[in-house]
Amino acid sequence: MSSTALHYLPEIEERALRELLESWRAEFPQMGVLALLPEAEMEAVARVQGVCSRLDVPLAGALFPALVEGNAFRVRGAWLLRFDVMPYMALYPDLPEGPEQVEAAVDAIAGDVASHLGAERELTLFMLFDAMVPNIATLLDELYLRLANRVHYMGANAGSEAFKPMPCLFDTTRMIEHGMLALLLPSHPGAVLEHCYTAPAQTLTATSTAGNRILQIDWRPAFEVYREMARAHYGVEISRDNFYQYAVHFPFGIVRANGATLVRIPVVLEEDGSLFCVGEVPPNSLLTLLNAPAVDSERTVDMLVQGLSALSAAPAGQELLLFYCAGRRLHLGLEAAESELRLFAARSQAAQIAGALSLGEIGGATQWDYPLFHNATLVASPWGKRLP
Amino acid sequence: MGKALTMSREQEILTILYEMAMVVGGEVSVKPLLTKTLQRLLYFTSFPAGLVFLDPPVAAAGAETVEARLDAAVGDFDLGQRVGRMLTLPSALLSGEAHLREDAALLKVLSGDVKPYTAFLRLPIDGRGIILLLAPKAPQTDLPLTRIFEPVMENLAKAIMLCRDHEAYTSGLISQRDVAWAGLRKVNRALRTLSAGNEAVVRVQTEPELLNEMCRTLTEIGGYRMAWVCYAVNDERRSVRIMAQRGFDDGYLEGVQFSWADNELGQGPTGTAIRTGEMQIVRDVKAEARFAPWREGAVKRGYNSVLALPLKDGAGVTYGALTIDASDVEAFDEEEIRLMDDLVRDFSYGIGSLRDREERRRSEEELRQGLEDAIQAIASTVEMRDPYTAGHQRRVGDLAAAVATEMGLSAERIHGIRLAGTVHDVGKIGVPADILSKPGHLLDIEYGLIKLHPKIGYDILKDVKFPWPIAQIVLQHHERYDGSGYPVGLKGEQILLETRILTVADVIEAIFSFRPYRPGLGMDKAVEEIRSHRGTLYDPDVVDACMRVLQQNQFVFEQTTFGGLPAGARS
Repeated sequence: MSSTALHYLPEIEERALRELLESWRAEFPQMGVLALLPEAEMEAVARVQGVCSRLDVPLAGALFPALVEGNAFRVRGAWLLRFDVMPYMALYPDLPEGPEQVEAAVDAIAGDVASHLGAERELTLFMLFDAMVPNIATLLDELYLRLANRVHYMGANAGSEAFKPMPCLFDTTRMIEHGMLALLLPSHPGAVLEHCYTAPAQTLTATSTAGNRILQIDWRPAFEVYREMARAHYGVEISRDNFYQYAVHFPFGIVRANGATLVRIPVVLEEDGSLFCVGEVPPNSLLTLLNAPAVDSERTVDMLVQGLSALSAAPAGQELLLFYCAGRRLHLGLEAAESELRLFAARSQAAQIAGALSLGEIGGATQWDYPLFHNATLVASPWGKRLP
Repeated sequence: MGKALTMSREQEILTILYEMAMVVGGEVSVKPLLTKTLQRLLYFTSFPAGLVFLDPPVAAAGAETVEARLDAAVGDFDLGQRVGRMLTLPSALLSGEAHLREDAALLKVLSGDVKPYTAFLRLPIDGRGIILLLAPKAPQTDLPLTRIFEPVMENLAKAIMLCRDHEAYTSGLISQRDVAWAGLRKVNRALRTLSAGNEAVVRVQTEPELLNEMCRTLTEIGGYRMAWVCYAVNDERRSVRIMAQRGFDDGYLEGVQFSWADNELGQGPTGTAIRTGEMQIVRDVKAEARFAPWREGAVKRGYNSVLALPLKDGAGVTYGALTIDASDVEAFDEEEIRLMDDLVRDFSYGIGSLRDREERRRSEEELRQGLEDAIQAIASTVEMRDPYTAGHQRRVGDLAAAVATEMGLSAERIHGIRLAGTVHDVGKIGVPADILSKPGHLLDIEYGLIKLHPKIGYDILKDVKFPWPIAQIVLQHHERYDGSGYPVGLKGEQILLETRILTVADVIEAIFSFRPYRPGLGMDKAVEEIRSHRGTLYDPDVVDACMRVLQQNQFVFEQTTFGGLPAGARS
């Protein structure tokens, strides 16, 4: 990409959209577009699809709670990210949950991807999931079993911040839910991911989980513990309505032997008192309850910038794609979150940063990490070539 | 990823060990056990790739490399393609205690062309194998990775052993299940054969047909390579006669000799089954000495085991054998043999029934023939006394049979009509011969005597047990459809259909043919007679059928000439 490949449209107006795409295509006849829209612009998806369809421009896209633009979160407008040459893309709706069906589905996905690998060794499998898919970590494990280090892995979860089911992934003609959008990016080094949550000395051990539900904490019903902690720390009574608002301050941590922690933010209080998380909690895993964890923003941003430098080159002057976890923003508060965005822009000295508020993130701390599904993180990746 | 928890090191390790223990304990097969264990190790350690080598050989002293089979790989696409193959690796990589080290040179053989591995964590599986975790850069950790997984590796070693035992056990069960399935399939095949055989026993009408059907059932439904039936011949050589054969023969039965004598050629399964009356099995054609005379031909045609079953009559006397040649060695198991034995018993019963039925049919035929001979004798007696009506009865019988055929009557009923025609005038034996052959008009008293002949005929025949109403037909044959006939004046349906047919034939023949008292009046006259009295004297349906017979030239009277005899009008 010789000119900027990231363009933010404050208003999704058909003419502006058409003019942008036509100008891009004049320079890149085989171009394609990744469109990121906030969920409030859901009705505009058809407009974007219509313009792309009429211009015969390949389109991949997703709806997120908000966009990241100009060091702030936007609930209007659209990001259009240009591929100079449209890479392989596929939409997989209605992903299954049963073990055998998962095997079959992942066989199909991995088979599709494998058939487009070619001789290129530096490829990234960029995945956007509907956040309502409950077994993303399993799907990721299974994909890694099949594709292993043949690709880098990066991705994020799309959907509604209210965790209401809705179609949130699309191409030129379709809009799907409960699925995945896969893009195989050639000559792409992957992404880095960081959260830098630190926990206070006092921890609780959680036990008894099933899929993406926490049934018990300290051998007591999960919700009982939650309610006590919220009362003790914030003096509030947790209800189903305010659950997500407070639960982001009590995410679960899955301890790993390299000292890193996987964060799982509970987002829904189920009827039976169990807690529904975005992202699976491994079966039988012992969890740590991160009681109001402190977030080291400086370190987070530094680690990201270092990671990006290690991926290819220093991010200065590059265009970047950034996913920022919605749960993290809720935990930090809007001001602190936007402060992190500003810090990241300053430290990275990126030419431009396009991104979205995500509902779960996929990646590793380094390029060759085992790919994992995270919450509470920032995922950053170079987009396109360095601008002149 | 940044430093996370400030929980105690013991707690951290405990959580990892707990989950690893659950993963290791949750599998029952080696392959998923190794895969899941590697996945969780990579998950916890951030190493991107892991390999498992089970039971690696001990490197020879001083050897720099060792050949080891790669049993599992996660996270490395190229190495994943080599699972199950032998890899030549530096001995230092697979030998020794748990070890975390950065050594790009040692890992060169495992590195791909994009990002070489520089660090590895070796975890011995307590004597069962080695796990190698690989990374382009050693993941940072404060935990003693070489030690914390020791309990996991101990458990993994036990789990591998248990999984192997379980797989062996399962494999044994599967093998047993397969054997059971194979047995079940055989029995099922035998049952289908038995069912088809029983159906044939009920359906088939003749013995050769049944024998052929038995062989067809065994080869086409039973799937056996060949089946054949032979009967014992009581000749000097105690030879056998092949009665039926189906399946792949390729000249086998013609090319070899069989006997049921107690000599070398009689020691085969077929001969022995006939001689002893006992079922004979050759489980492996190549192995049984007694099968030597037939072995070459049998093996060449793919017969590898043989079952011969004796065929016995109702008195238990063996008269032949059914021989089944199968493609497989040990093709006949106990249950299948039992069912085959049942099948042969059913066939033997069927053969016996067919023979009994044939015997009965032959007896009945003889009896019937005897009756018919008697009828013919009676008819001849009449005709000897009344040469002018000689042949009349036979011709009436023939025409009546033709009309009955045209009307669609059964063959049996037609035969009865023909016989009735042959003797219908038998009563004339009681009428003085001079009246019968008297030229010119008869006196009333003479005519009255002639009109007695149906009753006389009836009296002669009424006690003879015919399967047809011959006596009744004879009695009624001068009755007329409108009731104007004699001796009773029956009308319409009161008169037997057979009689109504016979009556029309009698009239046609009488008018057409010569009589001692007049010349033949010709077919036109005869036809005019029945047409003009259709529905009055004669049954209209019978008249119509008779017209069709005559018009369609389906019937031609045998020409008889009694020239010069005086004309008259007495049929």
